[in-house]
Amino acid sequence: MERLAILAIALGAGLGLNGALRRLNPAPVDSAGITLAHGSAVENAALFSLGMRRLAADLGLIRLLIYYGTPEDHHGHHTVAEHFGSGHYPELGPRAMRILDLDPSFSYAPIYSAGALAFNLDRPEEALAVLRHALSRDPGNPEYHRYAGAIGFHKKGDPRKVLELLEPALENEATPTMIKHLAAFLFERSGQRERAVSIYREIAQASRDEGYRRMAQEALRRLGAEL
Amino acid sequence: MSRLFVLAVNAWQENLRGRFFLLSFFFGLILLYVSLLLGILAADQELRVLVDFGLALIEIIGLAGALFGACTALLREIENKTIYLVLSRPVRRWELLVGRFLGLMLSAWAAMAVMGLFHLALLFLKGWSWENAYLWAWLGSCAKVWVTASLGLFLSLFSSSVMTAGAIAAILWTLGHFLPEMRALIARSPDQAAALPMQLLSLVIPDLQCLNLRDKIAASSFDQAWLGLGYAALYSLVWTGLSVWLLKRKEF
Amino acid sequence: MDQAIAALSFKGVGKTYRRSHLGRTYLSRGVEGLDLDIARGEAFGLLGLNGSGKTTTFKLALGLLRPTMGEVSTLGLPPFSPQALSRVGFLPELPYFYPFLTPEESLIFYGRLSGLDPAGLKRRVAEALELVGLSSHSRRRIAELSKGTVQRLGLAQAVIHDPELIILDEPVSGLDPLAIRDFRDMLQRLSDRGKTLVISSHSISELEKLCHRVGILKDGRLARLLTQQDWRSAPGGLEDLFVETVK
Repeated sequence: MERLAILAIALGAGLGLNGALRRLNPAPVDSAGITLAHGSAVENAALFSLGMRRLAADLGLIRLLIYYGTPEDHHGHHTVAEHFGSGHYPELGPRAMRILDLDPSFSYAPIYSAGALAFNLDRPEEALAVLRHALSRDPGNPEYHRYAGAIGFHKKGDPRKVLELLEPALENEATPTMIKHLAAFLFERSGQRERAVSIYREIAQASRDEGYRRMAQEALRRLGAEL
Repeated sequence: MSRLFVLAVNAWQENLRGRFFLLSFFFGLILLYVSLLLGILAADQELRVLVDFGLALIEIIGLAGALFGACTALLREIENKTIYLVLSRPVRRWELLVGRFLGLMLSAWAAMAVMGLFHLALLFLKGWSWENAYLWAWLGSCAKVWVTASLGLFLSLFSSSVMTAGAIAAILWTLGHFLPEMRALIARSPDQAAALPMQLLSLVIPDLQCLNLRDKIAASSFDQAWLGLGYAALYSLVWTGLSVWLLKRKEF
Repeated sequence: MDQAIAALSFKGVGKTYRRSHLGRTYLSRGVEGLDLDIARGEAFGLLGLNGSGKTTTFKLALGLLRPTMGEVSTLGLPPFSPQALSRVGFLPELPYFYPFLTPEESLIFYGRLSGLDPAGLKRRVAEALELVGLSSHSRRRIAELSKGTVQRLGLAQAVIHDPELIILDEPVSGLDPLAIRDFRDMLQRLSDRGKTLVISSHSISELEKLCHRVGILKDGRLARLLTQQDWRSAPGGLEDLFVETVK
């Protein structure tokens, strides 16, 4: 009986402490994370239970990069083919949105995905849908507004305005290399060779993305510039 | 107090001369290899993945050692009868329990600190810049390990079984991280009566998600972190106090 | 006997073990109706078959068990009180030490727990190791020591803090004859210095040589209390008296 009394006291203490904590720190309930996608539901649930939501988001990003970096054949199957990264990639947007549900602060994933959809795959509506989802999670984020604006101008075929919006993002370390590479390309096309070279050089020297480092080196060779 | 210190040092020595620190170094090697691979796959986000993976591993290794130690510390003393030579001396039972638990926690935190230093060395080599959020994340992990170990200690004395204590503590660890989801599910449940057991459970299990500062590493402010750490300290002290009560009732 | 001067006193002491299993409670008797006073400076032996209550008696004296009835006092104090325990030394049957420590480290550990001042501790450790003949083994890990060596270490930890009362549960169990003789000599020296010894043993001849009185336990009760004169005047000595009592 005494042991049960001790257990009852312990549970009561837990109840009291939890109640006090909730009163002092009423954390909003964010249930989006429990909308688990098939295919990674078990893994995400396991990582959640170990307190590794950010890691779940990280693994989600790694999968997204592998997905996007693996060419698709005409039937949507991923194979090793001549053109790396070629395909339709219907999951690109949804995957980024799920990553954001796991970690709402992981802005890289929706920006990367939106950038790829808009500027590489020419599907600006899907890109904007990703950014709208991102804005619903973080309405005040200026970067989402910036990219939404850039995509809007891209739809209208105004590269100068696109560059104008993207240029400030180049100073941000968190900006995906893909966006920097795009900006360099737009600078190159608009005849601003020196600016393009400096961005390509920065990518070639410092980017952690091996694919884009290679492309930057090729671009520098094409422009007759040194590494 | 000096007896408490002597017992804490003894527990520290036991861990130091055991596999604890070897595991830490072994972990360092695993971390170096696996995280490099993961980091490469993450391209631009290499540093983020290295930070997240490393902090997660530090916590898991720290938890494994602390929980195992907490569940076995006193039960092993009782089983091996080394407790006779301690309690036949002017040692109060609370001194024995608190001293050994203190030594265990200091060992666990020291191991987590060693692993943290390895991790930081790797991060700096990869070009990472110090952020205070890292320290908060590490402190949150230490607090979670403390809460769970104190639960394991209580359960080991309550059940007199290492396996039962370890299993229940591990389950509480996972449920403690699931609290926000549990509350969301309870709120969305169409049948509140059926959700009642889950609701009762959600009221008493430790809120480890509030200590999961690792997940909030992108936050701009850690003002609420002090609240979580205070909660962890109080929670652990309560369960340790109840463990003392259990030990006082035991006969050998 | 005046309880104030008794080293150990049991007044109507009983201990019943309770075990619960699947909702049923099982009771077993440890000791019952124990009335016994052991004087200071006395060497007292406790004899009995396995399960007769010897170890239970010792654990009651040390506060490791609480009596179901009656009263125990150790050096005139409650047995679990730090004041009493600081003046008691205990050698359990088959003493267990932390395997990761050396004998020297173990004695320092136990000495500190007994309240010894760190300043004088090293000297006391050296003396204790010298007393039990373990000076040459002080730096080896306990896991590497033989049974006899560990038993000696057990005695060393029991006396490191110079206690008034020393309780020894089967101190020569498993030792070879030479080791037994060494042990007896060490205990005799302690007794000659005025220490109170309470010893349980299956070795009747050892108790005959060491003890002033012997109590025989049977089924948890003190069946007989004998003095040196009793067993010296008996034709078969203590052994015959023991067999006669427990049969």
